[in-house]
Amino acid sequence: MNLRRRLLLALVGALLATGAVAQGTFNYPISADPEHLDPWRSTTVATRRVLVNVYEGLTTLDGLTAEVVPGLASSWDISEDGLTYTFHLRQGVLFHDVPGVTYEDREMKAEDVEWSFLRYLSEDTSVSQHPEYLIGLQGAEEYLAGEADGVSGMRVVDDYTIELTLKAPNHRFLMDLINAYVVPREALEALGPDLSNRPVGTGPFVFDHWNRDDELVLRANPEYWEEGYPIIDGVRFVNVPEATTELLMYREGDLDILLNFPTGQLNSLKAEFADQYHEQPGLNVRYWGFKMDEPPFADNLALRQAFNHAIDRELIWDVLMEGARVPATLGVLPPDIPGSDVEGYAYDPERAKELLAEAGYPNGEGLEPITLYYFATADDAPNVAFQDMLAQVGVQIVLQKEDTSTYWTHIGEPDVKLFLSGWSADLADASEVLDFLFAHGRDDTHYDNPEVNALLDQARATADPDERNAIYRQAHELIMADAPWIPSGYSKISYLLRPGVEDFQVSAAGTYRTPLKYVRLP
Amino acid sequence: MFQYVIRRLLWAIPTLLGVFTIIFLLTYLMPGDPVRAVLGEQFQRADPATIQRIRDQLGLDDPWHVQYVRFLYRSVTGDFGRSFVLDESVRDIVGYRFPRTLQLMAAALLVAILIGIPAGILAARYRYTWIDHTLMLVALIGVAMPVFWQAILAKIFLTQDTYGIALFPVAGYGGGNPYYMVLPALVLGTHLSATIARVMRSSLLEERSKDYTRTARSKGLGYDRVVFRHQLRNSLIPVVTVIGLDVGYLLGGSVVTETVFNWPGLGRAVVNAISRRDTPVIIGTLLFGAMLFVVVNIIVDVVYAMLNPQIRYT
Repeated sequence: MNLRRRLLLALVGALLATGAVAQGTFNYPISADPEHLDPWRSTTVATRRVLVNVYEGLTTLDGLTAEVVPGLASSWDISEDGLTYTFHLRQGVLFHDVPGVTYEDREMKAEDVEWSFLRYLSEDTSVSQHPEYLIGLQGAEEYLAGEADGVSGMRVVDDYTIELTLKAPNHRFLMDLINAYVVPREALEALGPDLSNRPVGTGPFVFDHWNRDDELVLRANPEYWEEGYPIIDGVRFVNVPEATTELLMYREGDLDILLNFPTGQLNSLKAEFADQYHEQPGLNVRYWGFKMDEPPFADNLALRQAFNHAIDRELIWDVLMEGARVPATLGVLPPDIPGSDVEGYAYDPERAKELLAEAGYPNGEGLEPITLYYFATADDAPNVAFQDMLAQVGVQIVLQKEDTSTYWTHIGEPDVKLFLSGWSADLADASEVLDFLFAHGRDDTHYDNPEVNALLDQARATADPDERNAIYRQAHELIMADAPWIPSGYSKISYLLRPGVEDFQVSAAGTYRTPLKYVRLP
Repeated sequence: MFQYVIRRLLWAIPTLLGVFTIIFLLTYLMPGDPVRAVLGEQFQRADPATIQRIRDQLGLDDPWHVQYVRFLYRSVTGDFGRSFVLDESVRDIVGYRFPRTLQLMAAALLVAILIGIPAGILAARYRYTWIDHTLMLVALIGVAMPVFWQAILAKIFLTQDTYGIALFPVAGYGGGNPYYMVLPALVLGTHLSATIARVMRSSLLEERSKDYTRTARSKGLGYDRVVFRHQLRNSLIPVVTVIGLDVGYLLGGSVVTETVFNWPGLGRAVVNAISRRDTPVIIGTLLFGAMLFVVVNIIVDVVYAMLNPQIRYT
């Protein structure tokens, strides 16, 4: 036996002794630990990636289509006026049996839903950071303000029925409920603030342990309500901050999936792992934004359009960036979102020059150099290409890269006229982008078009999906005509998956939403 | 000797106060709004009232002197507050991660001493021969090579069957299994051993020209006996200085090493805190690092005094 073999044996022995490896655990890399595991305060992908496996809401997302499907509610009825939702809960759903928590009744019932939802309606950000999920309920604002003891629009009908009544029709309501988790009251009472480190829910996986910056382990819930699931014994989230390390670990079989590709290696890895490489469009859009209320872009549509025509998005993403993103040849919505099919600004430097002249800057004369601000974690190449492409039509761009936290604060300031930014929609719905970035000057572009605002309000109250998406499309066209952005690229979800791993369902919503209960290991 | 130690300890107080003030000013003057940094893209999803509530709860709108006095009071009482981002107190963050960093630093220091001191002695013993030249060339390369690069090389050749031999795990803490510590400790330690070897060599050579060496030699002692009985102790003073100073380097180097090797230590916590603009954690860990540095330097001074009885406050 050679030295190496002996060392390996020693390693295996040591690992078994510490219990770090068990058969059938899915090893899942995360680039950073979740900030916490508090269901009421989860705002980041890092927290969601773990929480979606431990907690459940009344609704959930389909793993493949990203459509809203039943979760803890097996079905629901919506009243004619679109205001009252009656949810019928699944029966026999049990909260996790964990040490330190004793239940009066382990079954999840309507009262648990009510209790969990009321906690979302708190002004105290150390309690809840998502009052908006339920603020649309009748009487929710009064409850939030402390003027009422309960929420009039929330009524427990019986153990397995809860009725929620909205102030105004809102098609987003079922989507918001995806993230409004049902939590056992007894767990919060028993664990107190520690519940945010040791989540207890109804989900397919039970929290096991969390060694910070090291590993976070969930094990299969043997009492899960969906017969036969989960299949794997557990999930081990391994903290791997660095992409090269992640690749080396994947090569050695320490990880079952690779999510971060080291820069510049995408094409060679695609070739090397041809049978393990998967990709599909995602819901993130990256763009260069104009400050719409500051010169030189304010009130100068021709100038904004000129910039749009000057950029060859295909060259940037298909060639320079090896296909890391889909070139944004359409509008501001990623292609999987209904209403995204509008005409974009084609690459046309001649037209850009004409528009530049129309804008009052023939060949860029008279236009001061403009600084493009971008964040440190963004790739340089697209921005350098942006600079070069604009130089070709006569516009001088100065590149300014800032560390991410400085950047986020800075782009809101008036001295920034042009910046790179990005946005991730949680779901394939136009409201996910338009409501946050184009309504009432909320975005850093300060884009505010009353006509668009009105359309967005109208769409939100429209129950019929086709009708609604037609309104969103109309708003989308108006936005594109105003050109507050230079859309750059739409995300691609790409990853390597170990051969033999099956049913790792990925929708446009991203890998963090993958229901790991369906995953099957070789 | 006792009085000497006490006086050194008292001197640490103004040092720490100065360090604290500088750290506070730096973080306070850092551009950027922590709330915005914490929320990132999610910032736009949060309504202004929520943002204001977060600001109020974190006390970010208080004038600087109020924040300063509050932090001063808290750090004296050992309470650096709670992280803006993580659900942990700074004390817990440091308390959990520091022992892991300390493990790594201690192992690295051991590697550095075990390689550095013998190499320095050998190089001095065989001065100007091929042994000396080879050792010093290797040391030069060791000093010049960035830890990050060294780590990647080590990983490619020692953890992968594709390129070398998969002797060690790629990364991770392995639940405290020492096997996982070998590679990060080697990487962190070899760099330092290069410095130690060079200092050890030149220090020994300096001692060689001193009168006491000539006396020892002239009374008939062999070269090796002179080195080990007389020169070594004297020539260790600069080496101890270097080791003391390099604890700072180890702390800094652990930031990179921990990131590349997924080591759950303090260095990683600092990096995360800086990128998330998590002021209490930044202040807490930096102050802790500074305290550690001060303590190490006191120890170094005491070791000086032990090595050389002439060193005393007068």
